[in-house]
Amino acid sequence: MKKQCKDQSSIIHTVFDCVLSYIDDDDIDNRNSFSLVSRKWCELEGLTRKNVTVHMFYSPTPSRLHQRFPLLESLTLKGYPLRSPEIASIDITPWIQGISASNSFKCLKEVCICGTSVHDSDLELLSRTRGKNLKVLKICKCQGFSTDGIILLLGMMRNGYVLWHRVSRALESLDIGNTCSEWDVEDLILLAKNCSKSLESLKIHGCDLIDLVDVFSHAVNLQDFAGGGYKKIDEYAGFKFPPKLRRMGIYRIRKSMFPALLPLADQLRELNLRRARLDRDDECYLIQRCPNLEVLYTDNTGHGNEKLKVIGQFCKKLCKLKITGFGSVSSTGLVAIAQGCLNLEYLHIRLRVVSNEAMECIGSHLKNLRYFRMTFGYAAHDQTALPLDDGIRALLVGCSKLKWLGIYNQELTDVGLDFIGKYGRNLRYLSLGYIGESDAGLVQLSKGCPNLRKLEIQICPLSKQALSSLMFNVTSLRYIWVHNGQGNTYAAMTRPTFDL
Amino acid sequence: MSTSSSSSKKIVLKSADNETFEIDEIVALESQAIKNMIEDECADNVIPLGNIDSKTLSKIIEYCKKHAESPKKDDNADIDEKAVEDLKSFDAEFAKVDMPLIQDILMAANFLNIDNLIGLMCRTIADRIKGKTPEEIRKILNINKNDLLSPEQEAKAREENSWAFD
Repeated sequence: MKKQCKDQSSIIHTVFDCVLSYIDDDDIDNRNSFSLVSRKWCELEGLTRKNVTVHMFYSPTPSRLHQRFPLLESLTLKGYPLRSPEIASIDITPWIQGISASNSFKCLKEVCICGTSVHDSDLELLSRTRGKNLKVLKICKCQGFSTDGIILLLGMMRNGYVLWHRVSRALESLDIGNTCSEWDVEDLILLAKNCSKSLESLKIHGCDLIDLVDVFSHAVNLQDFAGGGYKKIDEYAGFKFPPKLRRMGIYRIRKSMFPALLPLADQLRELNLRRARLDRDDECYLIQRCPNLEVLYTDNTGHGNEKLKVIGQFCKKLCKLKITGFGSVSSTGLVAIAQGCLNLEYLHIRLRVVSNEAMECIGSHLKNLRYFRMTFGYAAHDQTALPLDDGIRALLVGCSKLKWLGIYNQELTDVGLDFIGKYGRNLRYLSLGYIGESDAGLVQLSKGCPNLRKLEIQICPLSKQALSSLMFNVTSLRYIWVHNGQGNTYAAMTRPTFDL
Repeated sequence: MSTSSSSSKKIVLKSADNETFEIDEIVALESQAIKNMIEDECADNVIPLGNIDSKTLSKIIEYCKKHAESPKKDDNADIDEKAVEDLKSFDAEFAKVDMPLIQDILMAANFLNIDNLIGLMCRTIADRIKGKTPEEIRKILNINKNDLLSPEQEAKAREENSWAFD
């Protein structure tokens, strides 16, 4: 009998270890289920979790995080999901102190802080205690720190790379693209020289590509570059990018850079052309030569449909596509993308108009779509346009993996909202703008969407009662953000009580 | 000693419930553990497998026979697709058994060190518990009640899963 018990527990252990190798690291739903199966599974799941996002507003303590996930490698600390005056009300200092404690999170290599207030003292503490081990530090949509803080950060980098120069030359990523626009090219050359083996990612701002010749000649393993641009128009003859570059976003590309760019085109996996300011023909010419692109950001300028046809025809491996800007993309372009890029998981597109047929086309082709956001330009209101209700149903039925849906400024009636509730079983994030007719639609919606966590509503004809009933019915809801046209109302919900 | 030329040699295995199984050495070689024993010349007598019952052992022998007969990938670079398909459908059929037996086979395969079979059983279990609720998983795997989290611990972890940690 005793032996049987031992077998039973060791088999559970073995089963867990083996089964986990068939579950993705970021398959949170399955991992969450596993963590509740038994004491042992809870412990094993915690020990094997590498990445965790903490919603600070709802979180207990850093010590609890450490207790559950002691071998964490990458930590994202999230404040509010959207910009709001509430941003300052989350105190990140205890978390920074928790991360900084000498005996905790020994495997931590990456920290991302998002949507909160970060003080200079926090940055100082973090750089002092974790500067050695941290390979990536991202701070986005945050406020509170001053230029001193940025200098401190740079100081940490500087300490970092001097230290790394002596120890392991391990700095992998430097991203100060949005933080700092003035800095010394000599510093960058030194960094590239000291970390030439390890430096894989460099994102900077306000620098002429031609000044980076030396940086690029040292950074032989650079795979990811954003920044640059041109000032001196015709000096790019003989210019060379690092040979392993796979992801790039260059500001203001000139055709004279093409001889340096095109030899890399085949190996490029990610391209950001949003600030490239290329004319349409040159951009299409470039895109055609990048058949292995997985991620593409571009602007929707005049004759956008033509560009989308090129993307659909040539970029068969595309997983993520974001097209912003005010152009003339319509259903034709959307259909070209849906029929051409079958691997798309993320699609963010700004359109002039869209038809139900185009939405149905997405539903029947893009089976891996997880994120879909559709916004519309301020074209004259099309009185003849049909409601998009059937289209949204076809999209949700077809794209069963969809987790993030955003629709703004299009004909969606209460029937459409009902469909979202009925067919949006897997939706986590829903963002609606200028849609619906009355409370009835939202009431119907709130009978479904059992996994919804965040809801954003902009200028929809809804009463507070309807919103309250939604919050009552959709128990998974974490945040709701309402913009009613007369200033923002922002509500963060806590359990068991919440305020609107 | 050469192991590949002695395919006619027999190996005798004895299960926990004292049933003996005589199998070709080539079949036994699917198990890395038995292979090691043969190489160390410890396999001349009956090999007792005190923790594997006859039902499980006969399933394992069925698996090893089929895999020993099939052409190996490294034997021939261009083995015909039909053989691969044949083996795949055999594996699929083989895995259609109830969960206690799957777990017994997994433990035994683990003990006998049969890599492919371990993988097959784990994939099977993973497929059966993916997308299931904790309660369903407990039922499928027949988790002992004494091993569960306490109601307070479970409520806390559940709350954290849905609100605090992603």
